[in-house]
Amino acid sequence: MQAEQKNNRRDFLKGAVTGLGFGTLATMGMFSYSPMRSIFLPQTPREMSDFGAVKSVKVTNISETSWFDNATLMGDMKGAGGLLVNQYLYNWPPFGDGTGLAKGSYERGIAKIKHLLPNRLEEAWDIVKENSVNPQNAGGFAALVEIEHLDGQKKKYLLDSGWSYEWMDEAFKREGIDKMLQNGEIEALIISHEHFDHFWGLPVTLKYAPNIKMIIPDGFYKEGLQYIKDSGHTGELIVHKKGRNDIEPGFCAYTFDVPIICRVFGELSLFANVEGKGLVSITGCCHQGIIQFISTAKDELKYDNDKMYGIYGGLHISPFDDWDPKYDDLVISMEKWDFSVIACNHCTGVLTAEKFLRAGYPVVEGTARHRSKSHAYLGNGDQITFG
Amino acid sequence: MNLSQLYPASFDGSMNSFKSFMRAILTKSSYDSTLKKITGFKGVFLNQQGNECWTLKFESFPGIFGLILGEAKEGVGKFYLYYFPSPEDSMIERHSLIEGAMAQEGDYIKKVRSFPNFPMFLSHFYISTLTLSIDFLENSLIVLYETATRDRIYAKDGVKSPFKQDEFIIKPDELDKDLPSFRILLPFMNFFNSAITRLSNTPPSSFQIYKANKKSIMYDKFGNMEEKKDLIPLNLWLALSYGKENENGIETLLKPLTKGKNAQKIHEKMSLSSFFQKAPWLCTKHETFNYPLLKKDYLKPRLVVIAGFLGSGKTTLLQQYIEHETKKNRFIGIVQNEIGKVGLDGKLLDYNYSMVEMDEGCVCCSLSGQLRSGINTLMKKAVPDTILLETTGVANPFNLLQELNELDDLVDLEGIITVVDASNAMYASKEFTVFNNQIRAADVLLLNKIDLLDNEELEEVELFLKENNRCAKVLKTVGCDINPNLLLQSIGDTTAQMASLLLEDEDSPTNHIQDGISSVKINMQKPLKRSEFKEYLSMLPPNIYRVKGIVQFENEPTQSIVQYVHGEYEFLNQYEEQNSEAFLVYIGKKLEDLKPILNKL
Repeated sequence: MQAEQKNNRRDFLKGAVTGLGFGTLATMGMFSYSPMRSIFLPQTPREMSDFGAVKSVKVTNISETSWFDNATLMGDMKGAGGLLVNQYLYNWPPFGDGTGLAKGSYERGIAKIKHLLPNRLEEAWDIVKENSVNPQNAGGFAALVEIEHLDGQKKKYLLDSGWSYEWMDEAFKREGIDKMLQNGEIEALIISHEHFDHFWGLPVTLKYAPNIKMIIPDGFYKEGLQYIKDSGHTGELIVHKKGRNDIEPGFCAYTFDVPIICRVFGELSLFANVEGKGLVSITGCCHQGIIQFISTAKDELKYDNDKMYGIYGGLHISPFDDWDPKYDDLVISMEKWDFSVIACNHCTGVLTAEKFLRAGYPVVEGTARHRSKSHAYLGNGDQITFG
Repeated sequence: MNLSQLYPASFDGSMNSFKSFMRAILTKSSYDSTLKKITGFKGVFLNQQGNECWTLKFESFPGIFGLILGEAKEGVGKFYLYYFPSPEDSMIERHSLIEGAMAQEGDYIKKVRSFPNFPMFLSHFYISTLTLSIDFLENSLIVLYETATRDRIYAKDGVKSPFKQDEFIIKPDELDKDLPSFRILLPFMNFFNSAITRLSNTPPSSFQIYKANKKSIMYDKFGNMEEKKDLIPLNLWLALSYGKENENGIETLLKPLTKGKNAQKIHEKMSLSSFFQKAPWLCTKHETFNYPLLKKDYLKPRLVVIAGFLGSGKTTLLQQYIEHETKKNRFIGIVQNEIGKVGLDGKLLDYNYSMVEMDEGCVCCSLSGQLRSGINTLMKKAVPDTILLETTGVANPFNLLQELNELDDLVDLEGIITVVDASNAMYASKEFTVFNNQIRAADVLLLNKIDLLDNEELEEVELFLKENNRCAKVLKTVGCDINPNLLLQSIGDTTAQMASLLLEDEDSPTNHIQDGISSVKINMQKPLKRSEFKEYLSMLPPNIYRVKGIVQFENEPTQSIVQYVHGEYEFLNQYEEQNSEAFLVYIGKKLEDLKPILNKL
């Protein structure tokens, strides 16, 4: 292209082009050709299906402190070779075999404690402490979800079983979960995803109810499936495929086929439609990203008032880094959904939760007890009722 | 190859399966900081409103790459790749005038984020088709790119200027569009191939390039389109197979695409092919090629220096930084150095983060060599993605540059961020030479606490910053609330070197001893009365510039953090479980004359 013409082009683009409108472009002799003119993309309509309604949902935070020191955890991950390394290789509790960071295996780890599961957990944890990398850093995530049906009937579900046997047993006793399990009051144990801090404390649940029904999302690796057996589970195991899976009228699970760090695949989140209020979303970590999580609900579920009523759990903005940092912000992305009740903790980030508060979002403050870090979190031992 | 390493769930060849497959690769790539660094991958946005699309950015191009799944059948998925130039992009002159005009519209970048929802965007800006042929039974994968060396459109009758009669923007028979599509495709291709190679731990089993002459398009003043013979543009097909070598599979894919085009294979020895032999994702028969680079997990961390005067908000920035990076599962190392001979800022951080504190004085005067050992200590446990060096409030960054440059073997120096307290800037600039040096050394100036100023005052400060540092980008914040990626984007690679050059003009950089600043630490034995302490703070003379520390007030369950800057102060409650020795650090001029005041508590 000649220099003069290049200048003309630049001036034209810089200049009044926005004021011209595309109509006038043709009169200048400008046309557009595109090889993609015929591209046809199938449209996906919003299919909102009705899954019933409940009267209320109560969530008890058994533990949201998955680990106690971020630096230790991230240091282990980096030291083991990065975020995509298989979690069973870390030599983290309970699968430590004494060989040190990144040299572990499920088989060697479980061999040391299998004979003690699920009943002799104190002895097992003593062995684990000997052989694992940073056992003191393990905590766990678990929550009790109580559904109240329209007729007043109540059902209890356990979401996740934490990580450390020691910490989780203490937390279960603190909230009376041990008794509920023993009495058969809990319908099922739902595991949100295969991550160490949500799943590896499984024997603590099984100690009190070995035959409990278990629900897991599709995508568990063979080690995880074997651990369910080795932990002494004798009840029914249900695998939720990608998409919506109903649990009770007004209460369903949704499996997202998302890759997660530490070689985990798939996360399941819970939805409840609270009569007269709207949708309540309950999540473990929300690795699929809050945007995908909520837009999926919007596209596929029918709920009262077409309103996002409440949310509980750890909120991840997105598994991706946005190329535009302006949008890479949980505070901004939460704004458009207009929640009435936000109860967040776990992986949300204390500063982010505090920013929610400053931005005037309806964050339910907690009591910051039992090692929860901030009042901006719905902390360990705190409860919230939606509806 | 083991395809389940890329995608462990069940794959049925549907549109949804292909979308999930692509999403899985992009998600895993986002977790892989080594891959990002090698390929210059700067991030992706997933849009799921309407048609799912991905928009990506790479270091080497200012514009945005768009990716969408167009069709899927019989195990073959076709993705279309777009390039949306940024409005200031030089590439915009190679796009057609229509595309250039679209890029000038105010909401252009916003629309790009969900481009399939806008037909004009979907039909323009196209650069390549990416075909994936996936066979889970055979564990094989074919990746095929179709593109052109040049995408050309001629304007037979020219395009006239709407402003001046008889002046042409494009003269008759000249080019409206002359886009080097293949060149633009390269960063994406390099990224995507590297991702597959690295995530599956398998180099491609074959790599071939085919070419054919490509006809250009010409339109006349009525909008009639015709093909035009052109010697220069070529169609290119670049095919990789993973798993077993799959000549047949590649041919089956190519056949309909190259029909009637007389496509020829480009021989391995020819220039284009040999150019690719150096690509990090390709390992041919020679072991010395670059595929092992992709197996490497260790890359140098980047080092970001945080400077800023006393009380400007450096620790707050650090907290924001840590939380952001932690949520992105990235690992941060912190090197702090505190003039008050006590690791106070370490205690002020909510996070017990991987941290090395260097307490013996100030990095800028006495610590030569200690920075290296600090960073080495930090890296002994694990190599962080980023190391933040928080300098003391009275450090002159110019004194650091020499040592920073010598750390080249350990870290990549990213740049210097100086936090400026807007409310105190004009005062500090008159009183302290070090303050002005901190501004001049910065690659990015974070103008903090802007809520304390009115517009006129803010303008005055901004003007002052401009006068002292024309190169640095100024970002305005309250409470240092900023996305660290925005900071990093603002740091140019060369700016630290520029500061280094500036240094050569300076005879003797100033340090804080010349400014007469010193510090005193006082341990507090007994709880204080809150009201008395407030009164005490409000009476401090102006030569005490900064007081910070941890105190216990009478009848209060938790300790409080004291932050005092130049007459302003605040108390923050500590969490219950945090309980440390109570103390105050005073920083200011001529403290030795102030013993009576200091001893008053």
